[in-house]
Amino acid sequence: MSSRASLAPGGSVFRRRRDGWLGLALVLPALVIFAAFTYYPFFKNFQMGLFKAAPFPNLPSRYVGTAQFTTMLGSADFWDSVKSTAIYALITVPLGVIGGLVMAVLAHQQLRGIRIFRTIFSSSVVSSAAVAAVVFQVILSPQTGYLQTLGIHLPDITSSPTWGLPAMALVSAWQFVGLAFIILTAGLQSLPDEIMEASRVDGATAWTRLWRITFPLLSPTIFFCGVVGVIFSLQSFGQIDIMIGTSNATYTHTNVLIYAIYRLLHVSQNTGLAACYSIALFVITLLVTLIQFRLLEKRVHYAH
Amino acid sequence: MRTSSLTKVAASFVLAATSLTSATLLSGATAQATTSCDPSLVAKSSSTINITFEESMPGGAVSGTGNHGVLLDLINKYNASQHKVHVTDSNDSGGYGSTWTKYTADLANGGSGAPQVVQFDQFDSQEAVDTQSLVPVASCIAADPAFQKDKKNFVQKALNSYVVSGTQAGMPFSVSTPVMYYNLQAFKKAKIAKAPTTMDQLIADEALLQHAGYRYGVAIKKDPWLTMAWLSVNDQAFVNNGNGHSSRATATTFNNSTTQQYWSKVQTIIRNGGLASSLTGSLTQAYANIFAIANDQAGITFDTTAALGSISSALPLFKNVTLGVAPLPTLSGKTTGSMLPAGNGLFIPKYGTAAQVSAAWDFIKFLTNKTSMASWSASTGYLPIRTDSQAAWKTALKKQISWYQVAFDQFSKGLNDNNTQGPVIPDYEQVLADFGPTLDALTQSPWPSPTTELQHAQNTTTSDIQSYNSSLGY
Repeated sequence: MSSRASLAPGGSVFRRRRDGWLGLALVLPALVIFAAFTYYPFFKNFQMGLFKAAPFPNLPSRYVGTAQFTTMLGSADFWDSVKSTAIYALITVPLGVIGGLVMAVLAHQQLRGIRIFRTIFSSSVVSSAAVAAVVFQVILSPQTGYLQTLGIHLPDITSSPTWGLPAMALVSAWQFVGLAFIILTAGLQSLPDEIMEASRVDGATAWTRLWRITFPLLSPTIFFCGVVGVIFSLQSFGQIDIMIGTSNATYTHTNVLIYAIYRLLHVSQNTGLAACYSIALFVITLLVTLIQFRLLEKRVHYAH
Repeated sequence: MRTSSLTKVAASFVLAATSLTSATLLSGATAQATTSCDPSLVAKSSSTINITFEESMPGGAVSGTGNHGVLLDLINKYNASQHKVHVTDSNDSGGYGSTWTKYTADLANGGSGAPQVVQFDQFDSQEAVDTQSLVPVASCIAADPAFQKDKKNFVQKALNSYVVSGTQAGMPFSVSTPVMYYNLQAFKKAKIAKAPTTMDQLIADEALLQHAGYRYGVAIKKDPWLTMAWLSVNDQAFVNNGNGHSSRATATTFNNSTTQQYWSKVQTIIRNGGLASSLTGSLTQAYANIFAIANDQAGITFDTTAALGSISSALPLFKNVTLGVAPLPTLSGKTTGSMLPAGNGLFIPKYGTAAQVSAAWDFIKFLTNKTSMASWSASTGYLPIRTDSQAAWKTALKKQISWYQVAFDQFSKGLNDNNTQGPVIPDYEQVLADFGPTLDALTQSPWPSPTTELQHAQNTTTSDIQSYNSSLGY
């Protein structure tokens, strides 16, 4: 076949062109899907931010330029949402990563029945936000909750402006801890055994091995886990919607950006402002991820 | 040859994508719109007119069980009673919000898929009108002499509650009011002789109940509806421009000495150990005030009469509760206005043929006729919106009638004016959401002044109403 192609005049050009078409045909289905569901909505968002939408989809929108972006940046609600989002992430990510790390280290033992524990530790990752929310609601309810039946009288945490946001973040952390456990367990299992063996021969204690060898070698995985955790926490929605809801007064204290976008869309029917909030969330996620790469990556030890 | 095949494959993908897009766009084609109502078209029709009824009643689809089951019985009765119109029920178990979302999604498709009759929350009336997607029932009434005669049998306040900018936009169907629920056994233990009629008596009774071992004494739901109710019984408006009935409301007006005094009393109740419970959330959260009565944590609460059906069916499980129902306590023990109606109404979307609009009106008349209304109100806990349905309603409810009569008297007796017909609020859901933080702040430390907090809520809600109005070009 190759001899036939090379015999033909301009054969290599012909083959390159043919491969080009083949490549295009192969990526086209994925490209169409990405274009329809990722790129188009992404750029459409910017366009929507320039129009003040009528509250109902059958009525026309009005072009207002960047007025809605200005409104958003001057709005106390927006900055409250940014603050809530930051607090939410600051609780969820460290709790999730540390919890996952502790469980991964504990489960990285050759003990009988350890697989059962690994399954239990990772189970929260397969629990949907709805399930997690309902489980915690049942535990925390001041009227009928399990804690109440155990004689622990808590205030109505999910209706409390002080405790509402930490309670939601706790639910998210519980969910994320399973994912962190899986990522960090995979990281631990990929660490080279010979280094551990050598350290044991050299007389290093378990604590020294953990601090001086395991953690430094695991740092790229912990870093990755942190980045995933931040993105996970910035997109938490279900548990807030189920446990708080828009009509509950506490929602203003748990009005993280993703929930504010939902509220603007479905309660206020304000698609233009919701688009501005979406862009803001995108910018914040991008900036936080870039900062994480810039600052934390320097402290990460990559084995060569 | 091979290149040519690959080119064809690539071209096929592009064509398929283009076809899919075109098909999607075409499927969203605008539905036929009818802007007038001619009730005689049903009688003239030679074939059956099919219409869809979109409603939000909770409960299963079992005949006679739950509000949805009772409504299904009425629909089946209507379908069986004549052959000109056939109604298909479309239930949104997610409630009014779900129906609203589904309806506005239909509007995005040019009305394609929209029902011919739709049930909306009463307080969504202004927004329903603002969609510019309805045939006002006023046009059906104007063309229906028989109904004009029948109109006198309705509780006029119920009809008037659906008047938006001077036009009857929809028909009332279900009406409920807030009432005071109390436990007679708790009263006996606390040595309380009768239900409190003033807020000061309520505060005193709270202390007696707490002393008798009821942890909270009084449980109050953080519900903006209470503020509307207090204004209504004092003949005051929640929004301007005739409470939104005479023309579009442009501002809220709820911060006045009446609401300030009420909230000051509520603050005292909560500060003294009363429960301030959530408006929404899970069943245990949204009805924490009712559960507090059931669990002997409180002896008094306020809630809707629409919950009476569920409460009475659960009562046999709670031997510790003997239910009492009374009007909401007021500041002085007297009312200058009357209790506003709240609930849901029936609207006719314009997306249908003239015959379907006519059929929609015929069906609405059936649902609100004397017999249907007696059956609907007796089985659900909603109040009858017709005076001529009362006899059958009372007979059906037997011993429980005293509970319902309290609510019906609150609603039907007294003044009938714009202030007591319930507010017509632009961007109601947003106003409701804005109110939440205020109620939250008012019912906890550091116990801010009601004047300041209510003014803050009034400013926020007014700003949101103006933003909403401006997005519609007003």
